[in-house]
Amino acid sequence: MDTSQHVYSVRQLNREIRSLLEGRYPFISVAGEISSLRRPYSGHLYFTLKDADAQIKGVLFKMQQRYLSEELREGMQVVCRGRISVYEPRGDYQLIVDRVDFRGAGELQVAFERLKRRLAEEGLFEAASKRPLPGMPEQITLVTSPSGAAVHDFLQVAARRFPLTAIQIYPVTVQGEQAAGEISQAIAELNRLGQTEIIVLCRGGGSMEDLWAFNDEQLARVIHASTIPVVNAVGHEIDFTIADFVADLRAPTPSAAAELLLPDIRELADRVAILREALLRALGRSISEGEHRLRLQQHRLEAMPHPLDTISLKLDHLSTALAAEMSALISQKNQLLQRAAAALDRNSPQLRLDLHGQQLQALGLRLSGSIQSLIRRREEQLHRAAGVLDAVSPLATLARGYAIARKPAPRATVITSPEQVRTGEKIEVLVHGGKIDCLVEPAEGR
Amino acid sequence: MAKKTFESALSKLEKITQELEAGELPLESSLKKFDEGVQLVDFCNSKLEEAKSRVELLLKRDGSFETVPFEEDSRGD
Repeated sequence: MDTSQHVYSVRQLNREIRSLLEGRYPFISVAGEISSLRRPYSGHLYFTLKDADAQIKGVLFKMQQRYLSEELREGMQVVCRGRISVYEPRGDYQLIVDRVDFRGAGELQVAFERLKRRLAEEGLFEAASKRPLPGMPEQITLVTSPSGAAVHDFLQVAARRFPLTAIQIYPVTVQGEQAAGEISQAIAELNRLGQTEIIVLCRGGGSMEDLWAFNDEQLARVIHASTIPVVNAVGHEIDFTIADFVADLRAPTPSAAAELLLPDIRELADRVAILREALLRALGRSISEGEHRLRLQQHRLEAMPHPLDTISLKLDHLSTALAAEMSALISQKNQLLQRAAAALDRNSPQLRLDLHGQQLQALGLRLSGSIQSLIRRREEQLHRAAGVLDAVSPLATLARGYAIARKPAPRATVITSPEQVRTGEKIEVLVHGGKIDCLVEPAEGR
Repeated sequence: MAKKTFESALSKLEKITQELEAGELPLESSLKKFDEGVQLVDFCNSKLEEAKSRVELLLKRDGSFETVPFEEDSRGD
């Protein structure tokens, strides 16, 4: 949405800002000094919480005031816990206070918040680095003061819930200068010994100063580095320390830690009893199921001959039918074959071949007959022609002493006049007995 | 398993019960499992019955640790 174009009503804007701030700051702690304190007729307490540079309006409603351990006064250093809201009719944002911590906790709170923020940024509180806890630990070590109420509470609950777990107490001071160092050392030693399964830091409730050892940076790092899971069971429900954030589990009180860490032996006994029942039931079921299956198989076995008979009958029937069908098929194919063979015979070319052969033979006879008569006729013609030729041949004339003069071959022109030749020319003279070569002499009469 | 603990016995017992309840085992192994299950039940019950809370104090002496039974003497708080 383009907010620059949108025109809000004032009411609308204040409502949006209110839901924005309430959503962002639902539960906060603010350290500061009480000033401008007033209590109007309504009984609510209005004040300004301030430090050197800034201030914020605060209200403690009448209903919440019964939790105050002392009266609020001007100039008190306090830590207010509550939420931010907007008073829409006036557009004021203010701190709606649920609880107020006194005892000049302001500076400690600031130090606490600063360390908490720094360690969080380093990733010491991340869920991924939390170690899982064993469900039924065989041994737990309490790092605590052996004489306090806290250890008593834990042991009492532990003995009632699960006496199978052996509990060890590592005595330390849980308050004062040495406390953080002793607790850190205890955790380190227990890791070195490597016998116990869970380390529980145990201490009763107290003021912020009382619990300050558990806000120690060094301790936080030792807890984070421990390979054995560490449970923090320090103080009452509402008290939070740095150790709570870095530990693998935070228990609100020592007795709650025992509840969280140990299973209830009565529930376990119940579970064993239930399992025993279930075992008996399951076995009973297995047996009766076995019997049932046996009976079923028996029945099926008895019923066996019938299906076999049916199958054998069916087999007989089928094989008879198969044989009949096969022979019918074979004879049908046989008929087809014979019919085809007859058709083939009928259409054989042999007949036509024979017919053509006869025709061919007749034609051959006719051909040779006509040729021979033709030859005969031609011989007779020839004979006759030879007689004629013989009658007109000059050769008969020559025989009577005549001669034929002609130019020599190839021209072979017959010479019928003297003008046809010149003196000295070679000519031939054919006579009955052959040929005479002659030379033309000069004519005397000329 | 090196040492039979209550926890391991209980989870084994649960597994056996599940197997039996599934009803897929042959009868003979069902009977074997059942025997094993009954033994585990006995073991678990005896552990639960004999369990007495054992609390010790870890003391450091000359750099090494020793344990002594822990007596709560001052419970009047």
